[in-house]
Amino acid sequence: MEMEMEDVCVDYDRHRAVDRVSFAVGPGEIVALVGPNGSGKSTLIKAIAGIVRPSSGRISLDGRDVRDMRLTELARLIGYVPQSVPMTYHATVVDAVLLGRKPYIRWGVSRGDIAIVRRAMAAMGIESLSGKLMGQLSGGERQKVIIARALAQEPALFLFDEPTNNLDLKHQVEVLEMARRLADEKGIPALMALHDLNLAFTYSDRVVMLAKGRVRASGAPSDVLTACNIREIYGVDVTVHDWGQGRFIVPARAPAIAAGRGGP
Amino acid sequence: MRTEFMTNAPPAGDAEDPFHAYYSGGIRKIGLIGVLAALLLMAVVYAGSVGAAGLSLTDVFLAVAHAALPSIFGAPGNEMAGAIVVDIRMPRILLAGFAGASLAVAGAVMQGVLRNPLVSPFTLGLSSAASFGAALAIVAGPGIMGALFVGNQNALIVAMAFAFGIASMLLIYAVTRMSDDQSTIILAGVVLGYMFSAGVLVLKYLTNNEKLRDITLWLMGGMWGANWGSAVLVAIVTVLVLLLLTLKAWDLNALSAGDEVARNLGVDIGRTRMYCLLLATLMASSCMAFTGVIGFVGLMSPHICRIIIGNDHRYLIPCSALMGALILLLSDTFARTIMIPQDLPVGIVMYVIGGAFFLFLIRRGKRSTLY
Repeated sequence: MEMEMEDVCVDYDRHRAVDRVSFAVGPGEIVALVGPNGSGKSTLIKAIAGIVRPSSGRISLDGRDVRDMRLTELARLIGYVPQSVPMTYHATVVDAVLLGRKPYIRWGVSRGDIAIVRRAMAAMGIESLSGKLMGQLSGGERQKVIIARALAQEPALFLFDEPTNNLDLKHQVEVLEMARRLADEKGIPALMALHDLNLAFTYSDRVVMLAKGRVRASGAPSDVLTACNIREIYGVDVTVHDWGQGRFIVPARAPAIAAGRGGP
Repeated sequence: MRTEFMTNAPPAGDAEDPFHAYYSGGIRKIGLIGVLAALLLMAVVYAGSVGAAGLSLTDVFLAVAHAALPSIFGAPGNEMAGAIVVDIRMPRILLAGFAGASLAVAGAVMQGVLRNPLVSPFTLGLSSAASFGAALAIVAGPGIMGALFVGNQNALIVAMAFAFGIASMLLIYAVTRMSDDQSTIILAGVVLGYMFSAGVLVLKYLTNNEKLRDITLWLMGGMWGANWGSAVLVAIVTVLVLLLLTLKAWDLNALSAGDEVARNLGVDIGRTRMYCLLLATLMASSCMAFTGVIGFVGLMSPHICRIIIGNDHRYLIPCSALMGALILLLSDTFARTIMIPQDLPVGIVMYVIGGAFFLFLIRRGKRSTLY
């Protein structure tokens, strides 16, 4: 699956959240969206998922405009993991993951659906939670249920909005490695908004850096995640340490504080 | 475009296997619905046999059977049984059952669509709007004192209550377009409710004593308006809308995961919300038009059912219907028999019975997952 967006703009009333953004996500590719809060990462992802409607521009999946697709069709192609979801106390974990099969189910739940649910739960390591209610889970467990639901959807493109939210270090790495595996082995691409620049560097093939709704830099992680770009976009001085297997991006201090104008 | 995620299959057949858990859960849920249906049937028989005139179960059975198939079954021994059971008790039982079912389903669907546990026909302003319509009809109408209580419903009151009930949801739609944030929709409903309540207060303040009494009784709600016409009408609307809403079960399930996820799962949020809320309003308005304001059952039945059967609307909606019917029918039966020949307003009894049952479930529910 290849996703392509050309000159996409999204407006919330008078505020332009996404401004003439063009980029593509190719088969088997993991693309990280980075940028400060309010830079339009979530809005961009929602536009691709069909949750917000772009005011102009074109989004296509394998060359087909998403506006020409029926909702169920789009639901089978795109799996979206939001930043947060409301709690449904009296739904069990299986019920919650099973929702991912909604685009395929008319009424009854087949054995095939349950087998897919089981695989998705196994992939997230949450089989032991199957009979529990959502209200009984911890924040991290809930996040894994939500990701398992997107897996059960069997989409051709994953959209993750801060998938590592609420997860401890081990689970952050597990989730990103799972995305990596799906991309490498099955060729299913993923677009993910990430705050952690080190994780973005380590797990993505390309990085798109946004600021105020516009693409400010895009390309290989080592070209985009530079001290210079980060200072310009985030307004934070960082030191970048390259070593054999990757890169550390360590914040030094905000320029305002460094100049003696902020702080206590 | 199908893809497989896992290379290593998990061990099958253990107790935590979701496959096994899901299906045994499904069987339990269907069993639970069956038990509720059986309880409801017993409640119907019980309600048919108790009352000011005590009748034996045989008389009740023969009365119904004779009315349905006079060529096979003879008339009951007690001469009055036929008239009492078929003309008085049966319509009242049917109206109470279907009104309870309809209010409970309306509540379940409204709570599901708006993802808020406090929503019911009461909180969304529907009851207040219907009350205002009824009060307007009582004040402006010919004012036949007691027309409400002898069975021949004042058609004007019914029509006005129904029309204003529907109008309340159309007003909410006009203000919010249903695609807004669900709390905006709820607030719009609450505010409209206050405005219609103010209207009722104005009418109460301006009118004379006799009409004031009529308005007050309508606001208390009850099965006084039961006759075959009203019972059949409410039954038809309830069954039809119940089917249509149950068909939307998966959309309602998806909505419980949030608007954004539901949209990603292929649900047209604005349209689904409008469709479900309008149908729920239709069923609640059509029953309130005959029964007056009946609160509680629409709020509580769905909660009780969520605790015992979970949030899957394929089971939750039918379960709520049966639970609502059971609660309202039992409450109404107690209300009319507890102080014979006094007929208590059903609300008083229902709040006590239903409330105690709900508190019991909250305490129990904490200990088990009730899969």
